[in-house]
Amino acid sequence: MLKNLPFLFLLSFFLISLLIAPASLLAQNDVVEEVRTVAVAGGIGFSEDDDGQMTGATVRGRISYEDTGRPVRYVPVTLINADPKTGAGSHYSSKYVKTDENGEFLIRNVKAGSYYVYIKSDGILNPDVYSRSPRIDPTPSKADDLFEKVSVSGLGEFQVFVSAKRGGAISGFIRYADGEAAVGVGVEALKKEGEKYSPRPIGGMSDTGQTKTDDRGFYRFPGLPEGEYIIRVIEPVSHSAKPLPGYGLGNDVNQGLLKTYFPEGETTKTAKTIAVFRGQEQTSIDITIPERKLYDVYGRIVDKSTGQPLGNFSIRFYPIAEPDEGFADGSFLMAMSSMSPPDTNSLGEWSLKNLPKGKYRITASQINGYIRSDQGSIEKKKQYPSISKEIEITGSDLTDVIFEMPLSATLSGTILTEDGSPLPKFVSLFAVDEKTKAIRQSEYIYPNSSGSGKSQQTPKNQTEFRIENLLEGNYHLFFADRAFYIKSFIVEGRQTTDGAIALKEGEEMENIKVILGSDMGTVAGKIANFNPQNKTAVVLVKGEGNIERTNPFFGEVKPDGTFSVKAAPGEYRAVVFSPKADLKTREEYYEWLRSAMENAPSVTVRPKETSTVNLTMPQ
Amino acid sequence: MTKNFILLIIFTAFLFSGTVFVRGQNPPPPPPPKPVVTRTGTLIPLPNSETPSNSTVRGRAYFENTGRPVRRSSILLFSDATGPLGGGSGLTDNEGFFEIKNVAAGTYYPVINAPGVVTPLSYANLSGIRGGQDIKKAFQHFQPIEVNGINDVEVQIPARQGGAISGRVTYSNGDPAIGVRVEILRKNGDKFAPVVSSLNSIVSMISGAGSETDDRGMYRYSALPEGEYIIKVTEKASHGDGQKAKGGFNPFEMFGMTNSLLTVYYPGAFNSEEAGIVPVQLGQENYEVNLTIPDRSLFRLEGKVISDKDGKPIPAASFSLKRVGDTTASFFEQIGKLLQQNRSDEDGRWGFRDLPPGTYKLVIEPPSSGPDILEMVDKIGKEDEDEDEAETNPGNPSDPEKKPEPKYAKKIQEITIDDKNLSGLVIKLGYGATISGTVVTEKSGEMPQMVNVSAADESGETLASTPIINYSGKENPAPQKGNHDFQLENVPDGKILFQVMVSDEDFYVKSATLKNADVLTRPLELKEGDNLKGLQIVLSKDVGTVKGKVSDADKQPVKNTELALVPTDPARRRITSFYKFVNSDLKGEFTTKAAPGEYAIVMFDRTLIGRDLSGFYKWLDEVIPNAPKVKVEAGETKTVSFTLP
Repeated sequence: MLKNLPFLFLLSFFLISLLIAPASLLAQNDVVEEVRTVAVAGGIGFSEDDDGQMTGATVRGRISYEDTGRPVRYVPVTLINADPKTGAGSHYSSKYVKTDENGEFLIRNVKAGSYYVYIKSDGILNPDVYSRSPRIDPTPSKADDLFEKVSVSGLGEFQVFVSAKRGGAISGFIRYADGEAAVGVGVEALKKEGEKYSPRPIGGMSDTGQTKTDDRGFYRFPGLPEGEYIIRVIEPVSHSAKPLPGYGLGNDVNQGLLKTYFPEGETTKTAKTIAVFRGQEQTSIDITIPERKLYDVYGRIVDKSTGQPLGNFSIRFYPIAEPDEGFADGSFLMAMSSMSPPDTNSLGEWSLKNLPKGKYRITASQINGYIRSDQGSIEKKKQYPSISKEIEITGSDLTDVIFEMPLSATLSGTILTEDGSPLPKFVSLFAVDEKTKAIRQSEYIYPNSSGSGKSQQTPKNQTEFRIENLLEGNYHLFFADRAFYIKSFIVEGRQTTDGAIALKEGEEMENIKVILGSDMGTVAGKIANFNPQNKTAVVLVKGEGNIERTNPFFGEVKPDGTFSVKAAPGEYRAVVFSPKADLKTREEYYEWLRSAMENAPSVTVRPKETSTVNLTMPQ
Repeated sequence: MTKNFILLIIFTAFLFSGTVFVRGQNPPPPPPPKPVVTRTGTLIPLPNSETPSNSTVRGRAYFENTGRPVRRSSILLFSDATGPLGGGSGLTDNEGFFEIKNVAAGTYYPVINAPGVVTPLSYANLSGIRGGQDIKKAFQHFQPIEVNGINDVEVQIPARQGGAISGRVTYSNGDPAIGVRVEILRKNGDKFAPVVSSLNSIVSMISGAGSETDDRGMYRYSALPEGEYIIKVTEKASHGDGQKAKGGFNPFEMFGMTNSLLTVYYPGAFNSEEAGIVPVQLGQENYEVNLTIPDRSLFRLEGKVISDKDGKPIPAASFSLKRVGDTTASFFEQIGKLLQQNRSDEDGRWGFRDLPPGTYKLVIEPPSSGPDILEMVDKIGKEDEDEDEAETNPGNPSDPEKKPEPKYAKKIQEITIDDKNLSGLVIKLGYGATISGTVVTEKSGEMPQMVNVSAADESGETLASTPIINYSGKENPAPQKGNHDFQLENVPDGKILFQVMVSDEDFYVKSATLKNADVLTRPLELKEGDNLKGLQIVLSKDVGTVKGKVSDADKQPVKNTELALVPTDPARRRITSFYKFVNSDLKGEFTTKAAPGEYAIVMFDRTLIGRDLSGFYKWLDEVIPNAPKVKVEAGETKTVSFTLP
């Protein structure tokens, strides 16, 4: 049961991310891939028998260096999947064995399948997607040129001889403008992928993707796959006036905004790429950190109507990337910066420190907007929604950035199933603002769980929901699940299948009834000329009306080009979602979808029936 | 990542818990409610809610040699009382200025967490026993900051650039040795203790980076205090036939911790005695400290473990190996002990592989009913997955009909491997002897909250122990008449010394006798199956008090230094349970209670109690004649003032 949970999470995340389409997520397309991988990972299972029973084959191997032929001694190894049907690149098991002094190893209880050998050692390349350590795209056409595969079937012993490939390396010194060594600063290597740079740094200290300069200002990235790289330095700096979390060990990964790209620029535009070849080292990739002026931002939060200062808000911020930055790392940075967001004091004052020139988006959110009492009822405090503001620092401190907070509006009511069937394991309702596309989510509700987490005897077919912190606006409701969709809802006594709920500032709209239908139909078929290398999904978009207002349905495409999408009954256009260019903004995404819809075949979804439609990969 | 983090916590807790912890003589845990055991196991005093915490510590960090700022580095305030958990932290800016707000009243040591900068951690001698005391001692190299919790404090913090050692590790054919563990040990007396050069190196030690050679076989250590160092390289072999038993991989090993015996010392020596000394000066780098791993043959050691009673195989007995005559302590020794995955199988078979020639101490522990730490770690992060299974599978409740199996006694055996595999070694485990007796306190009959009785062999290795507990929860003082009886089971045969530890310093151990023979200072010969009754342990409350003040040759107080009061009586001098340990404070003063008798006061260095106690006793015999002495009398307070070198 629980194995499905991550999938559901991802799916809802996936749907929502496409609805509001933050540029970074669309640009990466990773979500599509992860949905596919997770879906199949549930299938292979990690069925090792812990009792030591022989439940599979034995893989016996020997690892030697490709260039010297010498054994790779005493290193941890494991198997990773080489079969694209079951998620190439994923780890077969979290258990490792160690090679002996001759580089030999033995792994027992291996299920039938084909595998690469994963070697956990500095400088050795692996066809792995889940690790931040040096990795290579595990799609077979690329990985099979480099890595030996072992195919296992049934019981018995299978042999593999692995020639370990050394990666390339980049090293150099980091200095300040006055020539002094920059010690303990973070350094990241970003690989060029197409015209962009990978949003995730590669290599570095385990799990962090970042390395630090030593006491001489020296850094080094070993084991890099062949390709073009840019190197950047991130100076450790705190943008919050709040003390650092933890014991000073917590700041091991720098996430400040003070970046410098090799050789000395502040943006990727000025960065010089470094070509890396297997087994070779690019030395003297030295970076000089320029002198730069940093600015502080001071602001206040007040009630919009009364002008009273408001305490108890947290301030998050992230830089608005230049359109030609090449990659978007705002989302990751935002996550990190929110680890220690500055708070307002009782006078509603807040400050941000040490920011370089540029544009930023600042969001103010109330902390503990409500308190749940012991009886489960909600004690109301005055509630305010989260509000964002864009600021630009041009050459001086900003001293009075004022957030005027309107009162927050609320939607609440009941979610129930049309036919009385039990609700899914967890339920979450989303409200999306028609104009701004801002999204708010109800708490996750586990209708069939009591407080102790144990399942109840009779599953519920209805549950209450509450969506808080809403601004004034027209809201559409969305429900993310594979078995249910919103069939209709009743607002202020009126039943509707489609349409927006108009909310005024501070309004509390109660007694909304959301009726879920479970009579979903299926659209199945095959994509002609399907190329599994491209990250692809099939999207069903309502043929009529405003596409931005309807809930699109998605399905993953299997490597052989077949797909199957569950959807609410209705008329749809079936679109192969495989955009050529990066869709950086929401507008670009909808524009793309509209043009793709024009040539897309229509399909009718009937309750509990399967319709067939054959699609073609867009040119 | 989760595992990584948990290990980090375990490890930091292990480093900083300030509990006095002498080898083989685990004192009973302090009774509640005084300290709080956090989830990580660290003992921290309860914060006093009265303590004001509104001071701001601000200032500038600069390099002592150049005067240049320490830029963009973190500054931590280590509390005198609670270590790294107390003080808070901040970052320096481009000019080295920093500010730490809301600091509570107390004494703090500022630690600059920057590469190459010497920290108290790097001065500490972490010899495998808990280093809390050592770290406090290391504070004496740093200037404290006094904070009253009300006013702000301005400080200038000098950063000392440590020395560095770098080099390359190769195999004898010239290939770089990649990913081998490199440890650096500092000379301390006639022992070598491992050095943690910085806080970040704890993290990197756990994540496996930094303390291992890179893809070129290169290693480098910086931030080293002046001293004489040796370099120890360990190839990360697994000696256990772990694959046979569990088909798995030791999760600790994933993070670079290893219990491998394949060690080599710079420049290529097998033993630490032959290791080359590398002298280090502050701010200087020793380049090309290169090491070659010599070719050597490796052997197997295999055997069977059976019951001495019926010859039946004993499954799940745990086996561990130690090198005899190694004068170094490994940082990972304590964890390594827990890590021994080498257990006998269903047929009682056990084995080690890839062993270099040498003499080893083989320690065989009987199957234990306690939780397996490896399994526990393995379960971390898997709880979600297991949840469903737990619902469908209620587990294997132990059969109530089943009688508890008798336990076996621990066994220690010395083994030498020359130039061939050793197989067919049969280890017989007996049930050992049972010793029972009573604890009495003369005159009053009062009992301390806890008394721990243990039996050790002549090398100090604990073989069996049992606590006598007399508290039943918080706020519950020790009863006037408590539990007095004890029984030590499964004590191996051979010569045994008894040790008695008392939790309360108002008590001391006056005597322990069996049939009027003293068993504290003279060993008792035990035979398999012995059942000895009537071991009489007499406690006394007639302690005296010693107040002291220590200064150095320049009349400056010797701060934060651990001292030992060692009985001058040559018989008692050999028994560490007769010692009193005490730390001097910032004024160089100390107060302790002790049993009546004459004591010599020595500066105590825990690294000296290594595996081999004889060296320590020799050292004691040398220093005691010239050490300051104090004669303790019951109920009296003696004041001593002395100078230590």
